[in-house]
Amino acid sequence: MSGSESGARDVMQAAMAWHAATQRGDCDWDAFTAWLEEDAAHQQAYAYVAGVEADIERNRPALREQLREESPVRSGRRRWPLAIAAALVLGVAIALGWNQWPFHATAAQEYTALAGTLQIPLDQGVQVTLASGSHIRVSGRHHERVELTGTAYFDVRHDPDRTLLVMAGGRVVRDIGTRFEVFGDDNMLMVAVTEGIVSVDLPGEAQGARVAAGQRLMVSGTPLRAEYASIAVDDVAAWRSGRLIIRDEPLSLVAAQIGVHSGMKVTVDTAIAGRRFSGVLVTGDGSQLAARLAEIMGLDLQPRGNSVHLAAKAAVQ
Amino acid sequence: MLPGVMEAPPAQRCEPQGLAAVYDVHRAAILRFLRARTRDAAEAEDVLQELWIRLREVGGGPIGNPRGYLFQMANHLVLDRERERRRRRMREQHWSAQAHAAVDTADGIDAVDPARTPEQILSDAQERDLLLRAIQKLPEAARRAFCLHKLEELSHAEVAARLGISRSGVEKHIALAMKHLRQALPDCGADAPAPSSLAHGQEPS
Repeated sequence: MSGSESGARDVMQAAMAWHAATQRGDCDWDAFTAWLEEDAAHQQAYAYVAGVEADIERNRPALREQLREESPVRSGRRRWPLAIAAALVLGVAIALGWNQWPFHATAAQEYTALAGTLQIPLDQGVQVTLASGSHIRVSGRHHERVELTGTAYFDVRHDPDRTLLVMAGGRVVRDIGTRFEVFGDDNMLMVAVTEGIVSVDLPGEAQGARVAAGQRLMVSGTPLRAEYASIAVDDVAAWRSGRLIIRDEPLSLVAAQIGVHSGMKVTVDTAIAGRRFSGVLVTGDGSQLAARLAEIMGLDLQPRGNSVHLAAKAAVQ
Repeated sequence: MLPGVMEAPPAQRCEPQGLAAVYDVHRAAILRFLRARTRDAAEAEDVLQELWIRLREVGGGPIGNPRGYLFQMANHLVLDRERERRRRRMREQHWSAQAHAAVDTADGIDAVDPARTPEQILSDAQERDLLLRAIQKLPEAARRAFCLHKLEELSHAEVAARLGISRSGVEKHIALAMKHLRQALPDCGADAPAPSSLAHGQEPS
């Protein structure tokens, strides 16, 4: 290593300052070019900083959680109300027969897709593709219970002896053997099926609502409303190849999904929560999704600490 | 942060379709930037070519600062390429059978962020672990300043207040942390790792 330590640190400080300027969007690019041209060490330091900062940004929530000093406890937002869980345990127990109930269930496993899609092969021919920013907790002797926060695509090999239960958005999706996408967060749920049939527990429907290939069920709004639609199978879970294809979905649901991909809560003004959106958004690293949505829909994007809020623009003209 | 939503005088705004004209005007400056940024004339030309192609994919509303937007796009393209190369190296160093996990990437959609390959998915986890371990090993004061600023996203002033040191002290700590990371993770960011750093201290997990 040539150069004194303090000299190297000055270069590093300058590289970090340039990086911050490029991120803010007020960078003097010609001055930046001149600085890069000045010395190969400048260029190398900048390349390093930009690379590490991008890595940190992609992994920020996980790193933050693991490096936070005061609270080693998980930021356990309990999204799964106990009552539903209890009802579910009962339901599953009955479905399996008491003697089959996995009292010796293996420890639950948790997975979070932090930067990009994550493939998780579970027992018994179940393949889960987890969208960036999403989380699952898998439990049960045969990995038959999946609690989902965010978006995932399930590929389930047909096996009449086992029912996969996906718990998302406060409901239960049951499946025997199909391919389908689920998004669930808070009280919202979206299920889109590309193959086979799944059943979703809805209040007031004893049988469970059936969603078949080429169909989509959305549960959202206040009061909660279930809504069916036909969909193009090819559009389902397009985030696996880097885009979000949205067809006629309420803004509240779109924002919640974007929030998962961007790792940042995206809220919507209640006045426009029901507005419909159709479009294709490139997911990228997720950070630009909310801004793109706001741009396309002509909405006002308001940063609020660790979240962003979408609202109607004040009327012009 | 996002040029697309940045406020600018109306005269400087342009529709996405107008970017090509802005590109024509500033092509030489962008190329010069790319040469300085990559220190590789051929690579700079490649990126410029890619930028030209990507311009057509830009959609949405008016762009506030089209010139800055183009530079930023160009810079991101370089960053993506650097990252891709780094991942390739990582893959070669930490090859694992898991990388063969079948992933459907045959969509052929060439979006700004194309389908992730199994290798990318694998190295996401590795990248995170390496980063985590390197941050944990930072000197105490540097680590605290670094975590508050980069992870908790406090401003320099807020970190200074929290730690009871000056703002310039915060900047120095964070730069020092970055320097340590560079020694611990020579593969990150920088394009070519020094051969000496590969020879030792790389324990595959």
